[in-house]
Amino acid sequence: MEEILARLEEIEKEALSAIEIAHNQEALEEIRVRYLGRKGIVNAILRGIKDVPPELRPTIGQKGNEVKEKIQTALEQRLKALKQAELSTGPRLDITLPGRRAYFYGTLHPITQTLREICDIFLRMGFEIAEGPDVEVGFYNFDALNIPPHHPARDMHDTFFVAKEAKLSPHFPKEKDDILLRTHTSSIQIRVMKNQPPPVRIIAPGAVYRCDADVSHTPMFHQVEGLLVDKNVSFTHLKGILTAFMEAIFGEKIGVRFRPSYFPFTEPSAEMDISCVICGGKGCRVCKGTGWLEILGCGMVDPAVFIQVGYDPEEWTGFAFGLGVERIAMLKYGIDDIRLFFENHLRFLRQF
Amino acid sequence: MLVPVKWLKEFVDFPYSPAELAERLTMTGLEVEGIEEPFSYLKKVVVGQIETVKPHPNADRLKICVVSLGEDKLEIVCGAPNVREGMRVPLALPGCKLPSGLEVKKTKIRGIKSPGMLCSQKELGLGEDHSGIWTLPKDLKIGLTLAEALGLDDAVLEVSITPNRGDCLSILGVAREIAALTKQKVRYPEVNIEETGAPADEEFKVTVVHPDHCYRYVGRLIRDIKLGPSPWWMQARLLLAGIRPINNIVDITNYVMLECGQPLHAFDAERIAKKHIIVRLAKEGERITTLDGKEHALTSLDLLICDLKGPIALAGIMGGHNSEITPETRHVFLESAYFNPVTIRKTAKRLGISTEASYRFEREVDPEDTFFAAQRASYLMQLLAAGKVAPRAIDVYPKPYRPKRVFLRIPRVKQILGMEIKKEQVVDILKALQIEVKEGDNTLELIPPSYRHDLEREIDFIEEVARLYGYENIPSSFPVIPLKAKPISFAQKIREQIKDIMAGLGWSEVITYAFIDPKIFDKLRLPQNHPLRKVPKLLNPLTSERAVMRSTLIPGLLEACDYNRRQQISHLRLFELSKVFFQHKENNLPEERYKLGGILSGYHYDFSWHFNPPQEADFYDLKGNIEALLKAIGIEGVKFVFQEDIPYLHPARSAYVIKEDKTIGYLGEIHPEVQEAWDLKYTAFVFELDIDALLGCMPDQKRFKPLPKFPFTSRDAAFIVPLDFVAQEIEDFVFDLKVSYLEKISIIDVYQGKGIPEGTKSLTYRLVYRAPDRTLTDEEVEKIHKTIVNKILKQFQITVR
Repeated sequence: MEEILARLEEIEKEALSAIEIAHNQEALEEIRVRYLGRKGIVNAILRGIKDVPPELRPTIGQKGNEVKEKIQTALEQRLKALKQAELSTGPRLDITLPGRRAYFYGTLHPITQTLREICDIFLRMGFEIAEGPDVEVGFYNFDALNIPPHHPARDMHDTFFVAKEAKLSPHFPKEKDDILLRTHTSSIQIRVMKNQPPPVRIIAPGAVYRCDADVSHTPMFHQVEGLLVDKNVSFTHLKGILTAFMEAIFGEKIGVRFRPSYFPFTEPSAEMDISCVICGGKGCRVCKGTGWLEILGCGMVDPAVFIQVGYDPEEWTGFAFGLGVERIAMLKYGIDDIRLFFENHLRFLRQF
Repeated sequence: MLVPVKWLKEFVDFPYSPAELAERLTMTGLEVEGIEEPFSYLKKVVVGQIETVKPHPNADRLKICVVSLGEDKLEIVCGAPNVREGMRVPLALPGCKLPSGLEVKKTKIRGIKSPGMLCSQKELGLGEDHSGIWTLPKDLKIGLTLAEALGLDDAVLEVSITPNRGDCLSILGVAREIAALTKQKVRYPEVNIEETGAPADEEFKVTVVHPDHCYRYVGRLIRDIKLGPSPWWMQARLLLAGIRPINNIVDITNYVMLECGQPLHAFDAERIAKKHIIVRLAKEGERITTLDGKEHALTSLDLLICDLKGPIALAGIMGGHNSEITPETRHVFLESAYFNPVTIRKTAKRLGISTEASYRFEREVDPEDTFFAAQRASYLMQLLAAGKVAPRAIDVYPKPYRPKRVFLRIPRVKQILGMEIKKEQVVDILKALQIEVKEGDNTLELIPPSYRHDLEREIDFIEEVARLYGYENIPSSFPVIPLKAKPISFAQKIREQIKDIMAGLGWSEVITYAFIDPKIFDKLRLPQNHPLRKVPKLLNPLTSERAVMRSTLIPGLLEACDYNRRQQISHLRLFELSKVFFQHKENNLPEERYKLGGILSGYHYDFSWHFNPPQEADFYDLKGNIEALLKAIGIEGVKFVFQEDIPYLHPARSAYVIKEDKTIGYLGEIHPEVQEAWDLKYTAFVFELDIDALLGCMPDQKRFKPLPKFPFTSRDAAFIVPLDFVAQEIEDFVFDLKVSYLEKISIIDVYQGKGIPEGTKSLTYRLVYRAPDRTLTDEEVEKIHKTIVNKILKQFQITVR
């Protein structure tokens, strides 16, 4: 018996080392047949069991099964390893070749992206979006905003007028029923306030038009007008909301300042500056050495505007602001020529 | 406005450097846009005196001048004919950059060293004279820099004055602002007239015919003036303020205007017919030739200064050619008036003239200051032009200034500013602005100075308080806002969603100008009466290429496509979602509609090794994208039908997009003539969808349909059909049969060629069958499928392949 057991152990060693050096599936199969096949070596040995006394047979049987299992496991493991080795030694794809796609990604215009960012910030602060016509009546664009005809403040707006059938008045500039391209989205303020009682909390994004074209002006550009009217709204709130906005869009570290200015439809009026995003306030070409960049105009709604729309200026107060979208986009992305926005060069559009 | 700092210092003291002053002014509302030293190059030019003039050994026309600079002496080579011994001259030293761009260097001229250059007035940028070396006045100290000697060594602030602050359009006006800041008083300039001769009002008469347009007219007569250049200190200040010196009389009027903000005009007194000034509106068609030699036709809204013969000046804008000061002028009639700002503005705008005078009158001058300005100018004429001022000014003041009285409630200050400013401080600020204050309990009674036309209402004074208190000293806070806020509208949301989907499909968004060239309508082959031609037209377009508003996005897209072609990009997909405009009725606001438009050109796919050789894009590239977009926003059951009436599309390769009998847009290949007109490299495909129409077809709410529980079975069927047979017909027919268990029919193959008769094509459809409650048997499916195929064959009289 001892002899049979020793024989089995020997076979096991032999088989395992044969498996270890087998280099392909065929060799493994040969080994399997040779050792584990019906007529294989292990079975042949086990057939010798009949010469062994019956009480010892279970021991040998057990040993035989153990050896079979070990060989079987070794075969499987080796097979797995061989297959794995085959995957990595087989032919490889050139993974450096460009992938297959029908079409490159599309992009949203940087103005759209900037507008969305601006609107999102104000929407989160509880503002609503209002809209109005691009082609506007003079009354909404000027008169109702406390800019009477023949007021020098109209010089701040180079206006495109729309031709009318009626004979043109020689009394240039025009009367309040003139039709024109809105020069600012402030006209929407009036439309909103005329249509709803206070409180009002709106932003009004849109295209605006000025008769001006040079290196730093395009005849069409985009503005976001904002208006907040409620009881007890004051200049401190104007500063708070607009500072929070600038921090949201340019980062918490941005410096801001408010300085007195003039807009006919707000009083007190202010110009808001941010610390120069190019030089960080040290002074450079972009900020003309001042360290500050003009970013938006704002102010407390002039009582004359409230009276125009039928709000009681004693009861309601509010602030308004208007910001240029191109200006913000240029500063954010470092674009140095406003005209690029409207050339629609695909290499430009794809950068955003 | 240009403000020389030293001039400012004459009227008010301040402890600031120019940069600090700029900062303070900016923070109180007078924005300083720049600080310049316009004549800094004159710091490298010195006053010298020619001691000897020697001939140049190697050149006949050159001379060598020994120039004394006080202690030093330099030998300078010079070619000018007028150099003389004893002459005082400007010597530009090496390193000096002259206005022409020339930099003075140490040189050798014909073998002789010349460490500098003697200059003419023109070379120094200080006048027109280029006839020779500038002979400097003897009172300029030798050795001083020219900048210093002439008073040009000054910093100049470029101040931007907002339209409401006409009172700051003068040096005194800016000085008053500084005085309010520093709580000081301004010093007014000197007037010390010695009147002689016959009184002016005995010789001259002034009649204001239209007092609504001329509130005040002050005239002074100055006799026996000696016309000549004004002294250098005055010329220097004018130059620093950006005004060209002319002669002492004109310079004085300009100088006093800059000083006080009151425009003045000097007439040649002997050229005023009958010595009678009449201020009146022009007669329709009346004409005047102004000083600049231009003739203007006038209307009854223009204000004139006339004599008994006719117009002698365009009031408040420009003097007349017939009454201007000439070298022969002996006596001057000086005008200082207050004209109605609207009158002046209307005329100036209509004639397209803007002068220093009209700019100030439009922004209102101080009616109470007209007299002082006349006095000041008369005094300067006496002082600098040897004029004899006639006694008694003429002062016609038909509409005297009435001080305004305004009440300011102290609690209102807090309501607007959101912080409390103590009453004493409010009073302090207002008084510093020369506002008269009468204190009540909680109210102030205020009278602003006559130059502050912008202070009329309570809010105007609150702004003054905030301005001088300093915006930077007002804290920031947040308003308490109720949480309730409306979500953004469905339309706004969908517009943004559509842009996202288009970008996802590989399209790049463009933004094009809303105005286009009306000639584009011809390029688009639109007939004269086409509705797309009914657009708002601009009265004053910048160029004819941007003269009308667009009624379609296609021109902008074609332009963008063309622009990119010139940048060597011809494979592209561009879209725009924006407004178009239709002028249905004149004099009304136009209709504005949002459209989504796009242009596709190039290949099916981006060029790559996978799709090489590339294949040019066609109609189906565009259609597939439109289908994907519509599906993505939830619009199903859209039909594409042939269109024949869009002139800029290829009639056989374009379609309307229809949903339930409503046209929501179109798509197709651009018409070959249009293609040619834009010179595009590849065939372009365009589309436009009407956003409102899309919104109208969109489900309010997407609804869930239960997912199928049983498997489907599919059968294919191929038919031989004539070439012009439209695939959709069979689909529609089968759909209308409403066969149970037929889930879907779709075309899977279109074939033409070998194996089927000429003039026909084969269409293969796949029909998908499924029951909701069980698995269909093969027999069942076979039966239904056969029925459908037979019905198709019968309906269309076609055969199975």
